[in-house]
Amino acid sequence: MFSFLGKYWTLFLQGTVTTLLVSVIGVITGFLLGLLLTMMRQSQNKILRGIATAYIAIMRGTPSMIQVMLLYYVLATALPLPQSQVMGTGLDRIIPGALALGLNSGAYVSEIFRSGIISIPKGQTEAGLSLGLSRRDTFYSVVLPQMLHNTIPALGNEFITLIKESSVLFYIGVNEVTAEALGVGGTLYDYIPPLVVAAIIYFIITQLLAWLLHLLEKHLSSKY
Amino acid sequence: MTEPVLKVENLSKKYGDTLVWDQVNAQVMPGQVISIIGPSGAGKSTFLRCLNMLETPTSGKIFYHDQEVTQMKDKELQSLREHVGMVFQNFNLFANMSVSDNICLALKKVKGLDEAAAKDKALALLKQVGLADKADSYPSSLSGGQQQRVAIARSLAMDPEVILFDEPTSALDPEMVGDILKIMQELAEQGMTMVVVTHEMSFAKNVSDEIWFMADQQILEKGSPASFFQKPQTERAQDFLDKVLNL
Ligand SMILES: Nc1ncnc2c1ncn2[C@@H]1O[C@H](COP(=O)(O)OP(=O)(O)OP(=O)(O)O)[C@@H](O)[C@H]1O
Ligand SMILES: [Mg+2]
Repeated sequence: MFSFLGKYWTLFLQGTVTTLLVSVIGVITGFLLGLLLTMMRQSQNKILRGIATAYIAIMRGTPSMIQVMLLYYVLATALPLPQSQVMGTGLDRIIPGALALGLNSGAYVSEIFRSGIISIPKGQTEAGLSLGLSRRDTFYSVVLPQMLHNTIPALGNEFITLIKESSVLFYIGVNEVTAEALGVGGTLYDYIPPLVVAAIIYFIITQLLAWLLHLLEKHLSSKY
Repeated sequence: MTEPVLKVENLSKKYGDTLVWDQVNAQVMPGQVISIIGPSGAGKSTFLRCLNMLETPTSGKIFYHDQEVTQMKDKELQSLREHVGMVFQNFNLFANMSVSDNICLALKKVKGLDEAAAKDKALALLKQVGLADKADSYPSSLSGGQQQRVAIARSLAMDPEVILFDEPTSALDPEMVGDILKIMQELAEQGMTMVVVTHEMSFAKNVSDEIWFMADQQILEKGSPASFFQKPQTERAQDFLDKVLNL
């Protein structure tokens, strides 16, 4: 059933590397953007808070497929993106694709951070303020580290979701695992075996990530 | 004539439509130890928290020496809180930091000490409260009494002029209460100005210079412990004392 792998394994390998590449860029972008949005929502400035809230609402309220395609077409017409190929896909597709994943994920990461902040007892902030620390110092030294610590499991889930969601980049011609599987399926006139292979690849990646996160959690929870 | 350290003029606090207390007047003189007592829900914590503006009063004025606290902006409030420390019922140690970092944080960020100087001061304070060996532990591994001792050390690190205590022993196992009260008594003897919300009548009676009895949306009585405990002026206070002393 899987004898086609002998001929096409390099495509799956390329697809896997591409999936990992866009996911890593997406996760990093999403994490940083999530932090930025969280700080904007904590700020005293109404406009910053408004922008962050609206952004999150839009990202959560529209399909990620449309977000990906819109960003791709907008960036493709607005910027001269390099066309050089990485793993069989042009950077002019990889960059907007990975970015779109991150822009979408940032909204969810920020929601995770918000509930993380809410779960930290008010007394922690009050203790900081009562010593004469500024709101800013209290947030960065006391609230933020505890928030990150508490949200690692939820962040892990979000990253796993992002890896799976990265298959939508197929629609803008990024040759990630799903796209490669569909390509191979078309050649074979049989989609089932290559899609099963793709599913197994996603499963292995997400299981590995879950295991790494579990180790990280254990390491951190031994501290406090 | 000495000036009060803290002074409250016609202070009122409402939460929504609920009046907590109304038109309160009071002052704290240097070196004084005040015990605020009264029934649950009388607004003792709210009053204490207004003194360092963790809570904003609805109307009236608070003064720290001649500075009007109720007018202060962020920067001035930070400086006020550096001088007016607070110890909480639930300790509120920073959960993400070791005991010594709990003390060092504000020494570095507020007082501008470098790492080594902050560490030295933290260790000296920990020694003072008998916890030098716990410097590298995290708060979650300490008993309540130990956590509260760290919290007191953390507050002392700012060299405050006044410390506000909100029921510092209420969350402790009975055998730890004495430790904390002893430290507070030593502070009182060293001349620290303290405002203490407490249900520990022995402390109120033996350590404080003045009792404020809070009830019915006011400070109903102010007086020396001797006169208050022997002969309270109001029936309300008499009832309260009957209840707490006969427990
Ligand atoms: N953040 C808040 N929002 C609304 N109401 C509040 C808030 N904090 C306190 N209250 C109310 O204000 C009143 C006074 O509360 P406070 O905690 O100051 O009383 P207390 O004298 O300290 O009582 P206890 O002895 O139980 O600690 C109570 O009726 C309480 O329910
Ligand atoms: Mg209280």
